[in-house]
Amino acid sequence: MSKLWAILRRDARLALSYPMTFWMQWVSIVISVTGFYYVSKLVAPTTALGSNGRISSYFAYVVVNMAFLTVLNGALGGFSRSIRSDQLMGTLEAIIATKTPLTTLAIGSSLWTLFVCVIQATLYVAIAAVLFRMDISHVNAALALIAALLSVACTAAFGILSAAVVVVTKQNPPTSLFVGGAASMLAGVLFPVSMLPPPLQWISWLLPLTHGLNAVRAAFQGSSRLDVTPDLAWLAVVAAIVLPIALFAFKSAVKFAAREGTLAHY
Amino acid sequence: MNARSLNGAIVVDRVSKSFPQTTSLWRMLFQPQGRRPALRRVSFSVARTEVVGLLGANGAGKTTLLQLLAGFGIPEEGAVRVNGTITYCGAIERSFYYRLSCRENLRFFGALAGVPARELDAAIARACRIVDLDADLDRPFAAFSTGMRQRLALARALLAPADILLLDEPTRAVDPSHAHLIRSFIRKTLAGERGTTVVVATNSLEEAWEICDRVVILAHGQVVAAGDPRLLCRSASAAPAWFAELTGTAG
Repeated sequence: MSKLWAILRRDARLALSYPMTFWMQWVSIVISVTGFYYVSKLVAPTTALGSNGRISSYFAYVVVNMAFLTVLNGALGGFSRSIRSDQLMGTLEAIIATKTPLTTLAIGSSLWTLFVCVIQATLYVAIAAVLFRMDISHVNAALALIAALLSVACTAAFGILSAAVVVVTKQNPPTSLFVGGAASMLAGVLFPVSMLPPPLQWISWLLPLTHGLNAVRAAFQGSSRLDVTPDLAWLAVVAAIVLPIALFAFKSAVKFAAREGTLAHY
Repeated sequence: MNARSLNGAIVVDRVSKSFPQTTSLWRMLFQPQGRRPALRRVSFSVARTEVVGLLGANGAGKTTLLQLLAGFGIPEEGAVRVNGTITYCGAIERSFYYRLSCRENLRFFGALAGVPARELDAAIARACRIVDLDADLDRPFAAFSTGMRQRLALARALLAPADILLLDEPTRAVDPSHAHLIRSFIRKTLAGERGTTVVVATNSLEEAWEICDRVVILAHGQVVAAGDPRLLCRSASAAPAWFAELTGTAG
């Protein structure tokens, strides 16, 4: 526990030592929510944007999606970015020398990023609710939390796979491109999946992000757990399969780098 | 001592290690030929509480050997056996966080090394006193000179008690008076009073002479001589290649 706390404190101190970068992230959220509000005026509320036949505005649809995507981006990139940063700074060798277990490093290195992303996601929703009167009175918080936890477990597994790639190749894999670009488009972050051509809808169905977004949006509209059971089940299945594979891949990557003598290279 | 014996603190048994000459993953995996050998069938052992120097010119394989002992690498051939807890002090001066202070850096690495939170501040103060950085605890690491960074790396290695301490050029870039302080601490306190086993990589005969019970001389990844540094230097009157390399004297 003290190791996790030490890693969290390090990351907080380092992030706050770059105040302009840190605070600009928050300003950009205010700007993007405002932008979404005015864009949403072009789109009439429709059932295509809601869950289980309910009508939803485009503003509520996109704000909840963006907030949730922020959290998932944190779960995806936190660990691999931290490993890459320690490679570049030359601190990775010293960290490895402390014999800290890899799982502690993986969890610890994601904590600060995840914490900031959760606050940012909350800010997305809070600004939308307070400044632009987005209705959050029906939120099923417990369901949203379950969906978020399962989605974070899925995404963190892919994040650990990214970290394995970083350890071996000394390069950041293009995960942000996949999640920020391709997956966001296919998972229905900016528009409903139903607008995609049928073959792409099928690909979309396979993506955990699609199911995570479905479940969280449904939770924000007051749906019950039964309404989103298939989505939650899919997330649980993917997490159960990918997480052990990712941990195995990461341990294998570290072993490969040790064998090649490139563990501390960058 | 027999290199296969497990009675010592460290046994290195016919260890070979090479490195890929490329950064391309494809070539590493599918064209493994053309690797650069760093160590070739190196064997030696270290007894408990002994101070052993790995002596050699640049590129002799000292750091590679220390890193294998520290568990950062896996030998291709042979085996490394270590009996006890190990702390490694590398020679990378930028192995700290530039935006954090000396104290914050040591708190972080000390916690990861398993020093209990309630003992951390005392351990930091103690370690920094040894390397004469106690007045600089709250200065940012970025403001440290190269020599101070090297001393801080040693302080970090001293935070958690260990049976074996691996030091990679501990006095590199350190001014003579602090270098003397560090050597004296290694010889008298670490090995003499605390009974720590120390392996020091160095390219300085003078340093080896001052602190080591025994030296293992490496040249081009092979052990070319081993023994008491004073006796080795005396018997090196015929000036073997390793002696010329280390002293810069030819013939």
